[in-house]
Amino acid sequence: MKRFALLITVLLIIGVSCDKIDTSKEVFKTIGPVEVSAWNEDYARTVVQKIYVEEFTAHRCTFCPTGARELKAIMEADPTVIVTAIHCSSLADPLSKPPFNINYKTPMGDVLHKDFNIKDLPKATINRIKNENEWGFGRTEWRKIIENINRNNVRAGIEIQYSVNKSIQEIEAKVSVTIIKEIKNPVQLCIVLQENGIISGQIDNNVNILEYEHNDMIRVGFNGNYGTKLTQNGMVMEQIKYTSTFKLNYENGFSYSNIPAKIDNCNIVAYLLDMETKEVIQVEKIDVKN
Amino acid sequence: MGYKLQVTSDKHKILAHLHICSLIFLLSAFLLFCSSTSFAQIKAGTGIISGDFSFNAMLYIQDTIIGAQQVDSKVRGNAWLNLNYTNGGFSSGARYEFYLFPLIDFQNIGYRGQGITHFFADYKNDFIQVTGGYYYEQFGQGLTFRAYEDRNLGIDNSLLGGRVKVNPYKGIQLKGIWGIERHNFNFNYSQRNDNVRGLDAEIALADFISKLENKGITLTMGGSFVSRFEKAEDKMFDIYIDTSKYFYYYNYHAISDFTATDKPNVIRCQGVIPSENIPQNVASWATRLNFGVKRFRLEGEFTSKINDPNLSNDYIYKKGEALLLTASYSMKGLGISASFLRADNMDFRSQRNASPAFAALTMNYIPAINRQYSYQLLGNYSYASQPSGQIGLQGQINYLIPKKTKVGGKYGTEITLNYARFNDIRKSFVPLSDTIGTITGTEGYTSKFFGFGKNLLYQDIGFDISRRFNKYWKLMLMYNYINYNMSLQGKNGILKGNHVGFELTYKIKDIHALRVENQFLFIPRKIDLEDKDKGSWCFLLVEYSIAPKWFVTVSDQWHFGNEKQLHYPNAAVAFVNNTTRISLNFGKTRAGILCVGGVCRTVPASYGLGLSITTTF
Repeated sequence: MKRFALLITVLLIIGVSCDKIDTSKEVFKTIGPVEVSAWNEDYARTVVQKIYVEEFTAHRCTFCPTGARELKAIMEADPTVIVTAIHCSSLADPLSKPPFNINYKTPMGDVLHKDFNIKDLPKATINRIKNENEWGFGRTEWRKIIENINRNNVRAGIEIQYSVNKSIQEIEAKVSVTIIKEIKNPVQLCIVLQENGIISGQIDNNVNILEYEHNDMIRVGFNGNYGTKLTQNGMVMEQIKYTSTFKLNYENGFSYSNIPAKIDNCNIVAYLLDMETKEVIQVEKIDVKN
Repeated sequence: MGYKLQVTSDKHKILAHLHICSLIFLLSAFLLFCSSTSFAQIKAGTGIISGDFSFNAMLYIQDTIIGAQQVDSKVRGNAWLNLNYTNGGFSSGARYEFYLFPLIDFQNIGYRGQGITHFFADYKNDFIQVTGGYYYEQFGQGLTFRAYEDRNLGIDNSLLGGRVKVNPYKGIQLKGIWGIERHNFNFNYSQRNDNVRGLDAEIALADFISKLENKGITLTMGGSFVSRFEKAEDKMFDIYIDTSKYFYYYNYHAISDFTATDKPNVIRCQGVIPSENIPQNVASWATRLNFGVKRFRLEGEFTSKINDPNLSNDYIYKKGEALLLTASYSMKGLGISASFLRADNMDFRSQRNASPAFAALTMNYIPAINRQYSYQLLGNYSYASQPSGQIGLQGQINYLIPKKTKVGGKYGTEITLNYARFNDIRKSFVPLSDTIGTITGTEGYTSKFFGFGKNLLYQDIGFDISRRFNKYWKLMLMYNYINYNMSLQGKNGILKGNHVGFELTYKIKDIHALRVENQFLFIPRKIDLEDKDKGSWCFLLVEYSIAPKWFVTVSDQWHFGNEKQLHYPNAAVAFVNNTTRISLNFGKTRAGILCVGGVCRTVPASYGLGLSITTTF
């Protein structure tokens, strides 16, 4: 038995110590170079601080719909709050039969779920502010945390433009980041595609809802789990505008669930990350209307 | 844990403080040295304290003719002290290194700092060995993992962490390691995002099967697994597309943001490998076999590494491989050996952005199997092992013409013949690399395992004959023809040279001896090389020794075939007392390389007075 345990341990160590990357598809993306220009001071004066809430949820999480309703109420009361719903954990694993047979988990969501040490659901990160040993806050804390965030320290503004080419099923996002106040740490810009109006199963307070409407569900990242740098070393300068273009093909759906996104139901969220503190500096969202 | 001195704005104060510290350190070291020469090992209770001390210093003098640059601090030195305590199965130790104003060649490779750079505690018995702290280790021949130090090269790849070795049965050894690799004097381990872990197992079958032992057969098999973790970051790179050739690609990706290049139709755009496509856990495994029957031995090790995009391979995803085979046969008066080595994409480091120009952060060791010479002139054209791509072989025959024969003479005559050749590996680049104008982000290339590439890297054919004529005279004659691809030193061209020489020793009295070495390296002047490599060289050395204490040497390297006719004279005196050696030298050193076992570093030209003190106790 001891030998068997040793063998299993060795195989486990070997198994988790190799990251084999599938190179049958291109491992890289082509992106446009970052265009650097002077800021528009008038625009900078209009920028308000927005709050980014990542709701960690799952279709078999019984109290998650209560959390979603709480967030919806917060968003309705405060339009500066932007929410992304991330399906994760074993409660989001698909079952063999409907209504829970669809996998809404994503590779990016799995990474964030792990990196932010989310232990149970529903939890939400708020601007990725650290909460002692984890980043997730329970649903009773969300409103209070959001209210306590200082809105007067606006360090950056984000503008998003997009175009959709349905013939090749590609969406292009042109994102500009204007640095309003000095940011001392390196930053990265992350862009995600999320989808509204996905009708699928959900447990809601121990009741199976067959046609629950899932909103703001993350589908894929345009440029990696933590985005990409705007400059070679990630450092950005005050009163400078950085603009870059990102493309995404939505023809074949995304990893795990191969269900293509209904692009007209989607929105694009772009957020700027402080790579030292991990906190979200600014966030912006735009609905895709075609 | 080691520490670095923090530089503040009050630079002068700090420098003055450092110089005082330096003097105090050197004085303490000297006193320790004086006291240590009077005894061997120190008894401490039931344990023993042992160690070694080394101090190498040089006063630098500018010499624009040979290219010896003016250095900011003219007196520089490297010093270290090792102290070890052993008591039964328990041992512990620490090392203090003082490289704050190091010899200029060490400063050039970033080996600069001071502090307690090494400490460990180790316990072992017949069943288990446990080590905590810094340690060195090697799996097999080192193709997957070798943590080692070489003070001459400025390499210390020790791991800070833990190690366990277990011998569950006679003939079986298991090893497990986990740690963070040392990187010169950067000891801020809390900022590191990388670590190394590994397993190794070896079984000596002769210990189990008595029939093998009875027949004089030894058979050892082993396997190892090493994995490196490093947090992934996005990798940005430039893509170049010839739109006249690959318009479909340009069109398919709908590339709209690009810049023109100086080549018509070629556009540049930016590519990114997202962090999720950069492997954080990169594993390498190896199997090995050592077989021996009577006078014959065969040793082999094969290693493979999964996708490891890194700076040395331009971020390609091809797997790495290496094979090392050595066969040898020996009998009285005759030894024959042959080796084969192929390495492909096996530069394995604990950080993917580590510079391949330096040996720091290397996790494995691909040896150079060619014959290693101590001849001065050939030493400047030593073969540097190429873990990223090399294939080659080496053969050597040693024969002793029996003594008391007509040809062999009274004492016999030793003859050594050898041949070595290394080429790059044959590569067929993947089509995508042509499309995007770079191999970054692709599989890179494919390569036939036994295919020799077109480019010769190194070739050496040579022999030497050594004969003692009588009690007083001994002579060695040597000849080599070498081809040396100067790309090994970052230069252009292939050097073709004939090396001839002799070494004559005359024993004047019982302890008095005179030794003369004279070598010529004939290099054509009309050859496509940098000027300082063109033309022939001569080396002459005369050494007078009073064994075992005194050695006095004068030598000169003369670039007589070159228009500049440069001389590199040297004079040295060395005194040896038991385990202590003190030497003083004055002279010039030419710019070149220093290699140990195929691992090399550059040596700048220098001129000055050197002092070296080493002792062990």
